[in-house]
Amino acid sequence: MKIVHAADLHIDSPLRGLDRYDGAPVERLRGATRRALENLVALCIEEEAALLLLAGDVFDGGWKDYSTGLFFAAQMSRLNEAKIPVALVRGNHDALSTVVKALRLPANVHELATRKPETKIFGTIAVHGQSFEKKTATEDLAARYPDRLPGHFNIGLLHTSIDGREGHDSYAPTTLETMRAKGYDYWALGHVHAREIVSKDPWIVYSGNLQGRHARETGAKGATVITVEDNVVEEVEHRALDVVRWEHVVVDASAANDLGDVLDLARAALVAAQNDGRILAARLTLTGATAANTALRQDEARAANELRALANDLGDTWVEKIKVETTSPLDLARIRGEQSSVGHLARRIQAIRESDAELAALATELADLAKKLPAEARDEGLRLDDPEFLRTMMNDVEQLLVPRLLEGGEG
Amino acid sequence: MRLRALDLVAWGPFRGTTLDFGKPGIHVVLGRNEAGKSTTLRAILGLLFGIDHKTQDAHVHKTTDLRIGGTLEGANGERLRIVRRKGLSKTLLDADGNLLDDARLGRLLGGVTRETFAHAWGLDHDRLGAGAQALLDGKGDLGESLFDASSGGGGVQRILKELTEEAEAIYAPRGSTRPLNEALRVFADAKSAANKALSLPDAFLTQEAALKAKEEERKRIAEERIALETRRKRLAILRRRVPLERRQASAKEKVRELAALLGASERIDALQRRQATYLRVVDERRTHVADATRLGDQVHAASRRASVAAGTDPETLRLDARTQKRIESLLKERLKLGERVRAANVEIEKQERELARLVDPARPAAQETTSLVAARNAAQALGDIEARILTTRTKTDRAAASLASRAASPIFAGTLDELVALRLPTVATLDELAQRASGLAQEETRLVQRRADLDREAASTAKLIAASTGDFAPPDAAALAGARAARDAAWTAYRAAPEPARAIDLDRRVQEADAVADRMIREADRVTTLARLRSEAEESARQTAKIVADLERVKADRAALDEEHRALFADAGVVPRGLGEMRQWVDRHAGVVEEHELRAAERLDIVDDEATVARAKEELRAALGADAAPLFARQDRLADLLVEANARIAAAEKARADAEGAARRGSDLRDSIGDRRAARDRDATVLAETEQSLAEHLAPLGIGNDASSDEVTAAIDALRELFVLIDKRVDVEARAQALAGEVAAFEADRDALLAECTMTGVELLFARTKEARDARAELANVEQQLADIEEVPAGENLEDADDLDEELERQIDDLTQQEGRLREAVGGIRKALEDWRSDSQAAEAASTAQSALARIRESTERYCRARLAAVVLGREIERYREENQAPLLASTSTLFERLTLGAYSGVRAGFDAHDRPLLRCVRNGSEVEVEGLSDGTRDQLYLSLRLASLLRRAELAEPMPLVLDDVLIQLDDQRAAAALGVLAEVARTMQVLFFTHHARLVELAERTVAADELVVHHLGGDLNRPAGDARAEDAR
Repeated sequence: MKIVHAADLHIDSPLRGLDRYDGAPVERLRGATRRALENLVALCIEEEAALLLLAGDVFDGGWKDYSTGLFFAAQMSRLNEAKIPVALVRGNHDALSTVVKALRLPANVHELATRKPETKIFGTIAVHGQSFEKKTATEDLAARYPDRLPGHFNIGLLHTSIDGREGHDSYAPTTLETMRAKGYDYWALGHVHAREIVSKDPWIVYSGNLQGRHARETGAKGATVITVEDNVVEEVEHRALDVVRWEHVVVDASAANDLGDVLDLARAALVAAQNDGRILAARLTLTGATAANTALRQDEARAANELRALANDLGDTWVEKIKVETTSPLDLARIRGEQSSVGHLARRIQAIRESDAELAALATELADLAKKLPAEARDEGLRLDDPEFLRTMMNDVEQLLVPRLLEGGEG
Repeated sequence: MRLRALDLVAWGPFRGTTLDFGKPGIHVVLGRNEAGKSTTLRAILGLLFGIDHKTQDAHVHKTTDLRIGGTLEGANGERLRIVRRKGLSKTLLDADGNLLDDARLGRLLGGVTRETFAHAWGLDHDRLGAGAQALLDGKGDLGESLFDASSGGGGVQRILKELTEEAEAIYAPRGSTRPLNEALRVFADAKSAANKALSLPDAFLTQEAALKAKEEERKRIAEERIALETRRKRLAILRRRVPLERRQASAKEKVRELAALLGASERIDALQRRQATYLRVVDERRTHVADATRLGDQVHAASRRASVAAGTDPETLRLDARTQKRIESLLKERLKLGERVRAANVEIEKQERELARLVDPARPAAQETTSLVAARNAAQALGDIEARILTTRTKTDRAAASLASRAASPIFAGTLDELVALRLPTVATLDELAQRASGLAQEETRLVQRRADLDREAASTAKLIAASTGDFAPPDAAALAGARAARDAAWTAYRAAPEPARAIDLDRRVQEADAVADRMIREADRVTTLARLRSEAEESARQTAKIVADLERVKADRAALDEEHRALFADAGVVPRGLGEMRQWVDRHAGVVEEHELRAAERLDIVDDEATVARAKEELRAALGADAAPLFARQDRLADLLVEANARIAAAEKARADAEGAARRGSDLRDSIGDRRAARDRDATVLAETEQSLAEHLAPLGIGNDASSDEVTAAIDALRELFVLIDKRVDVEARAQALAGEVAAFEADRDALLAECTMTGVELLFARTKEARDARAELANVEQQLADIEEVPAGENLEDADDLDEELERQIDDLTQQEGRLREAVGGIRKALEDWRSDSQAAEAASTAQSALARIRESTERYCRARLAAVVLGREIERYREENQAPLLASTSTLFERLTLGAYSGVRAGFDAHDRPLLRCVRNGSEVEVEGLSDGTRDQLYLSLRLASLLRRAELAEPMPLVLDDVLIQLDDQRAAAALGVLAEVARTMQVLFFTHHARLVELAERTVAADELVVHHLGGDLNRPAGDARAEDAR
């Protein structure tokens, strides 16, 4: 018997950070979260699953488009036709969602109660769970789950952050002890987007989300297939269902002498990161003390265009962002000690970087733009008056200015 | 820090070469092309900061063997001897080859990096030009100019401009098309679009309800339409059945009525098939009877044409085919043989005529040509002798004329023949005379020269003698004796005279005598000289006399020689001219004689040839014969006669060939005539036999022996026509008889059947039988159609069917249209619902917004970097200006004035319209902008700024050696000398290493810079040569 466990579908939540530059594979990314859900349904049908478990956050909280719900319902209907039942709990996002409230789901979908834990029997499987009623669920929902039902394969379905998982809001917090105490065979968890097997006895598993949506959600995304024989877990296996794979590709450009060399190194790194026909959404970080530092920084737009053209050539590759973190081979510490105009400049940059007051004064130069940036940009980290942001900028300014003044004559 | 010595231990092409930079002052390193100047410059960098891992200076020594040594000296006098090897680490060694801590070297370098050293303390020609260009690019911005000079010419003006432009290209506060401005707009638009595209649950549920209602309505209308269509179908069936049933009844009635005819139908059909044959036979018999009558008439006519006698049975005249063929053959044979006999006779006659013509005795006989051929061959053997004679004569005449003109000379006025006949002395004789004359001339010249020398010497000696005689003559013995006598007399007088007076005179006398003696002693050499001069004057006079005598003798010899010369030409009656001229004339005369003899021989040859021609012509004329008429008009030249002879010979040969041909042809003709006569006679015999045989065949037919072939043919044709007609008539009569029997049989059968069916005529019988058969077929057809059409239940009335059908059709159309509209509506709603499920416009718009946000993020970061870099750099430039402007401008002014030899009095700060501080140069009290300077002056301005900047830096920190590489090559000597003077002064503050490949600059340095402030090093030659070569040169 196979049971499929998925969570955090966040259907129609847009992929973030992908500038649609010329040649980017825009069409293939359209509706990526929907395609991932279709892959999940196909997996269930192919594996002839006895049950699909959805551990919350099927929808994105602030998303109001009803067509998203209809799409989900249509996919559940496919499972209905294949006679595969679905058990789901609402997560914090679903609790917010206006889509969920109006949606009518086919008969095979069983949404567990919100007011108190509910147990639903699917043949020999007993699923225990409770949906979020509202966005914030601060109490330990698992604590109130019933004890195991003898003679069944017991599953705890829960949207939670165990012990307050890093990077995720602390919802329905619980502990391993609480869960173990229930005597269940498998805990199907949602909320944390990174896949994680928290425990193997009993099995406590975050399946992770179905499709990575930004550069912080890297690696293979998908669902967990649980093979059960005689109410005992035989195998727990992750299946990749994502259509876009996010990766951080770090290129050590130390050996590069010019932009051409950097391109060669980046090509090799991107080729290595490509994965079985999926689209690769890559964040390229160029590092190392390199002779190509000035070439990369002097005309950033050109370097970015060349790297993106390279990705276009490779195909199925979208360069999300290019972070130039290279440094000049020059000894900046020594230059700062020199009694020269450039030495003084380097010292000034150092001084500005170390003084919040100086950084704040410098921020006024960017005030006009700061006012025009949308709130979403600030959420993305573009806080132009933030000393940390300005310090990073000053690092770049130092790497940009000092080598150019000393190398001279180029350009 | 100073570099006291640079040891090129193993570096580039060098091995163990040391440059000693220890002495104070400017060090000029002269390295001509390929001498290793650039290699040495790289060695300084390699020594101080490490050897580049991709060094190009390992082409002689192995990479691992590369070594650069040096001795460094700090301001405090600390010295450090270091050796640098190539490698990634631990490359710094001490003098003994032990590892040295980099920090020790670092202290001496004062924290200066390789890049700073290369840029701030190194300057070459290209960088000088680039720095000057940067001044121009920055339009003389004071802060940027000072900062750039201080940083070593990194092009700060350009960098600041690029950063500012980059930031402005990404974002402008009031812009709309810049990438960041546009991304902000796209983001806002996409967010708005996402909100507008949201689909809400109520809208979906409403649509779902509408879909259900429309589907039910469509179903109801479809059912109604189907009921109407069923009824309409039944009416249609009814309309098809009724006419068929009516036709069925009518056909059944007809079949019953004509049942008897259907019973006999097979026999009736047979009669009908035979009737056509019957009608044709009746017609045919009638035609045959008429034909028989017409043929009888034709037989009569033909009998007459064939001359068949009345009462004769024509059958007796019928010719069998063989006889007829035989007659035709005999006729053809007779015709052919007659033709052949006639033709043979004509040909025989023609050949006999030709034979008679060939044997005509009047034909001319061929001429005898043996002697003519012999004479012609002899003449031809001479070739084109007449042309040769003419050519030779012309040449000889031209040469003779040329010789006469060449032989003409003023020395001899006679004719050429007289000239040739002259007896003249030989050239050798004349040469001997000339040699003697030359000897005399040389001796005379020598004597004249010698005499002039002697005269000059005599005059000189006389002058010297004169100088030593008279008042200036040295005292001689007589004078001394006189003086002594006077003294002695005075002494005597002294002893006799009274006291006061005697003393005075005695003293004077003693002194005078002493003075004469002294002079004699003192001027003894003058006395000797005078004596020698006088002796020389005498000797000179003696020699002069001898030379005069010699000259007289030479003149006499010369006169005798001229006389001898005249005597040599007396016999020829020629008055000789100069010896040389006569020698040439005699020489030329010998040539004239020789050529004259050559011409005479040629004339004799011509005369011989002309005699030969005359003989040949005579012989030819004799052979041609006087009586024979000439063929050609011209007969005077040998060539003409040859043409005539050849023509005659050719004519005679042709006549002989013609006669031989005629004889051969006559013989052939006689043979041919004999053959033809025999053949003709044979043909005549056969002809007679043929005519006999023909007569025998024609006689029974009544055709005479004399009948021509055409007549015989006509008679036979007439008989054949007659028998054809007779045969046709018999045939026609037989056929008419046969047809009469067939007609009678048919008519008997017909009449019997008509009686049986009680019909009056066959046509009616046939028509009624067809009617009966058609009725039976109609019945079968209708019954078949009715079987295919379903039965209709009772109750429908056919009377109103048409109106009802129209009404039903209208109603059905109406319902169909309603149904179509509903189906479309349902499809539209379904598609809309499906679209809602499958796609989300809102999600796509949200995705677009995220894309724009990504672009905002990237553009913002780029903008911030460029903007902040520009701001920080701009402020730093301004700070540098404020802090350093006054001392730098003062120092720059001084340097610039000196470098421009006072053409500019210095620089100062000015301002543009926006109060931006600018660098201005001062010339004749007025300001000149940087753009207004010539390229060379701008170079000097930049050099002034760089030097001022380095001097300023030297005030703040210990200076490094200033390394200059060919920076003065563009300057004229004066300005280069001024620059070298300035650099020598700079060298008092910091070490100056001046590399150049121009020897001229070394010379200028040696002339301009004090010797104790200049050291010249020659790469690839004697190193460390002390200064002063050029100075020494100047002194010389």
